[in-house]
Amino acid sequence: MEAESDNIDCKNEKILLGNEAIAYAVLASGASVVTSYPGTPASEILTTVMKLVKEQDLPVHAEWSINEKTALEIAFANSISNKRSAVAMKQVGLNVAADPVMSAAYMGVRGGLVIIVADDPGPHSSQTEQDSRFFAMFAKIPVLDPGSPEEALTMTMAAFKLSEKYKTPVMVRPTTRVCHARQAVAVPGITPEARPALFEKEPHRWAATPGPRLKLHIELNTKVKSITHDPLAGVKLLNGKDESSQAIVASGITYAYLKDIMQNKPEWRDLSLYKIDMPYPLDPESLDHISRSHTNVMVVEETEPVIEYQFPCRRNVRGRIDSTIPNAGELTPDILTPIIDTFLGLKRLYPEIHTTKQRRPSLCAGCAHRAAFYAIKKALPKGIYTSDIGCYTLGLNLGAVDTCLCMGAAISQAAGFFHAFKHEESPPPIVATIGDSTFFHAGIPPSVNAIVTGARFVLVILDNATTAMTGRQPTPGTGSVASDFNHDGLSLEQILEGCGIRSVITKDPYDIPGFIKIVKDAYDLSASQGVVAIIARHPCIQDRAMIGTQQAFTMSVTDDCNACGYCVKEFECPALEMGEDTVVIDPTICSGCGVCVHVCPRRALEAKPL
Amino acid sequence: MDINNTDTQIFMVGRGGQGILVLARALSEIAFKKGRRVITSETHGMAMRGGTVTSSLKIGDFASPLIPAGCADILIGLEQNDTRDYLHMLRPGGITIVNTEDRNDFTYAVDATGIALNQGLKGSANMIMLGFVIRYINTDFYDACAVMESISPKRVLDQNIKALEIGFETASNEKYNQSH
Repeated sequence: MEAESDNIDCKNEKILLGNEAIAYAVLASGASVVTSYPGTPASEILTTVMKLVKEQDLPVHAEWSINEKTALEIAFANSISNKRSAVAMKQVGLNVAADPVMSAAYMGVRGGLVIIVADDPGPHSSQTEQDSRFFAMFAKIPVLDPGSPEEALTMTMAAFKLSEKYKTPVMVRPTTRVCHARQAVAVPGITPEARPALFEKEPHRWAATPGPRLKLHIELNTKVKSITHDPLAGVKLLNGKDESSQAIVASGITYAYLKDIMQNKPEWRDLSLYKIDMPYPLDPESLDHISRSHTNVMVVEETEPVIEYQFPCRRNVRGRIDSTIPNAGELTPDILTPIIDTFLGLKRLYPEIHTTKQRRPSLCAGCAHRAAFYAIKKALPKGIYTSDIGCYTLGLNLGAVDTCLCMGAAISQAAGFFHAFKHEESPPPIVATIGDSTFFHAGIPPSVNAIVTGARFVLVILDNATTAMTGRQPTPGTGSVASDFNHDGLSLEQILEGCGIRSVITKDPYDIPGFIKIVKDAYDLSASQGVVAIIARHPCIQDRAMIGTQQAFTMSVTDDCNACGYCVKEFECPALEMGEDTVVIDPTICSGCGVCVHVCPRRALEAKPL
Repeated sequence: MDINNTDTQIFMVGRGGQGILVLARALSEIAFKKGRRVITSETHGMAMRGGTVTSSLKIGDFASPLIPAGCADILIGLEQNDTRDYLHMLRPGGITIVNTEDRNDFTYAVDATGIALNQGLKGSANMIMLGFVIRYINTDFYDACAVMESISPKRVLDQNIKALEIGFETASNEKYNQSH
C-alpha cells in the first residue's frame, strides 16, 4: 500500500473510486464496526474497508453480514455502546433493513451511526430506481447527497459529526455515478478512535414499549426541526444572483453535470444555480425564499422529487412532479441539456440522442449455472422456474428463469405457485433456483415455511462458493466473512436438513446427463417428501484459484455440425456463435470447460484434454 | 494529441470481460501522474457479464464523470460492433482507435485480439490497445509501465507489460504515423 501510494501520490492525493473514498472516510472518522452485504453499486465500500483494516492492522471489526437487516442491527448496537459505526448497502438492501432503521430513528444513537445507501438511477444493476432519500424522510433521519468521490469522502466524515451532534442515524446517499467514478481526492489519515465501549441502560429508550415510543417520536420531531437550522441544511447559491427570472436547484451528481455543461454554455451564464447537500430535512423557509425570489424555479435531482415536494408552495416550481423532467430513468448530461435549454427559453440546438442498442449480459463461458439451467430445462421442460437475485438471473436467456422478485423470493414463490396450481388436473413441476449467498441472505425462512406448509417443489441451490455478481465476496458457506475472525464456513447440506428438508442431493452440474437424472428423481421424490433440495456445486469460473485445478479442454467443431443453431440458442454460451456453414467457437472467450459436448444433438462439439 | 496540456475526454467501449476497467484505470493514473486532474466513470455489476461496458475519462477541470454526446476527443473501442453504436459520442474531428482487423471506418485499427492470440497473450488485448493509445497521447512508455506495476496483479504483470510494449511498438510503426 505504502509503496503503491509513493509511486502515484502527489500531495497525499490518490485516485479513488467513490466507494473507496467512502471507506477511507469511515475509517478516518474512527468507526470501530463496519458492516455490509454486497450489492451493486455499494459493494466496494466494505471490500476497501477490509483491505485497509488488514493493511494497517486496525482494531476494526468489519464484516460481510448475512443480510442488510443483520448488518444494520450489529452497527446500531455498537453505536449505542458509544462507538462510531457504519453500515453500507445498495438501495434495495435498505428495504431489507427497513425494520431496524425505522425503529433506530426513534431511539437515536450515541456513537455516530452512518448508513450508506447507494442508489441506482437507470437502473443499471437493480430491481428498482427507488430514491433512498425518500426513505430517510420516511424514517425522519437526515440524508446527505454527494455528487463526486471527493464529496462522498467529505460528506461521510460530516455525517458522523452530524449523527453525534443530534444523536440520530444519518444516511449518506451516493448514486451509481458517484460510487463508480474515480477522482483524485486528498486521502485522510486513519487513526483508530480509542473511545471505550459504554452502554447506559435506559430501557424506556432501548427497549421501549408503545407508551414511551410516543415520547421518542416527539423527541425525534424536535431533532428534525433543529437539524433544518444546521449549517449543513443550507441552500448554497453557486452561480448567478439570488434574484433573477430563472433558478435551478440541484443536488448530488446532477449539480456536477450542470456545472460542467455551464462551462460550454455562455447562454446559461445568468442562470441562478443553487446546490443542496442535505436534501432532507430542509428548512421550508429557505425553499420558500427561493420560489419567491425567482419567476421560475426548476428542481433537478435523482431519482424522485424529494426536494421538490418540500417546497411549501410549488406554483412556479418545475421538475419531476409536473413532468418537466422525466419521472423515470437516469438524468445524464444528454437528457438534462435540452430540458434546461427549454426551461430557459432557448432553442434546442442539441442533437437528439438515439438510444444505442446494448449487448445483453450473459453468464460467463464455463459458468456452471448455465449447465444447471440447461439440465433443469431438459429434465422438466414444462416446469415453472422461479429464480432469484444474482448472476443466475441471467438464466432467463436460456428460458430457465420465469420469475425474479427480490432476495429469497425464489423459494416463497415456488411455494406460492404450488398452492396456486395444486387443485389443477396436472399441476406443472416447480423448480426454484437460488444462489448460495442469496440462500443465506433470505432463503432460510421461506425454506422452513415451505416445509411446514406442505409445499412441493424442487429447490436447486446454485452453489458457486461466492457472491459472484458483486465481485466475489465470501459467504457464510465459504467462511472468512469478518476481518478479525476465521471460520471454515457452514455446510449448506446441514442447514437444508435443519430446515426440515429430508432429501438433500449434492451434484456438480458440469455432468449434464447426471444432473438431468437427479432433477427428474428429485421431482418424483417431491410428491412424497414436499421440498427436495439439490445443491448444484461448482466453483465460480471467475475464481482464479479454481481455474488452475479444473480439467481444461481444447474445443472444436467437427464436420458433423449442420449449423442447426441448437447449441447457440439453447445453451447460450458466449463462446458459441453462428458462422456461415457451422457453429464457430471463439477461442478468446471459450474457457475449455467441455460442457457443451453434452448439448449438441449431433455430437459435433468435440473436447480434447489440454 | 497531447494530454499534458489539453483538456481531453476519452470514451471507451467494449464487452464485459475485455478489460475496459483496467484500461480506463491505467489511463487515468497515467494522466494523474502527469499532474492533471482526472475523473472517470465505470460500469460494474451485471453488465460486466459479457454485456456492453462503457467507461469515460475526463482529463482537465471537470466536475462530473460522464461525457456528453458529441464531446469525446478519443473513442477507444475494444470491440468494433459496439464501437459503431457509440460513434455519436465523438466530437467533430475526434478520433477512433479500435480493436479490429478491419481498417475501414476508424481512424486507427489495431488487431489487438489477433496479435494477443498469436503472441500467446490471451486476455491482454486491452493492454495492447493501451500501449497503442499511450503512444498516441504522447506518454512515456516507462511512465505507463510504472502505473501498470502499481495497479496490476502480480500474476499477470509480466504479460501486461509485454502486451503494452507490443501495442506501443505497433503505434510506432511507420504506417500508423501517417497523419489522419
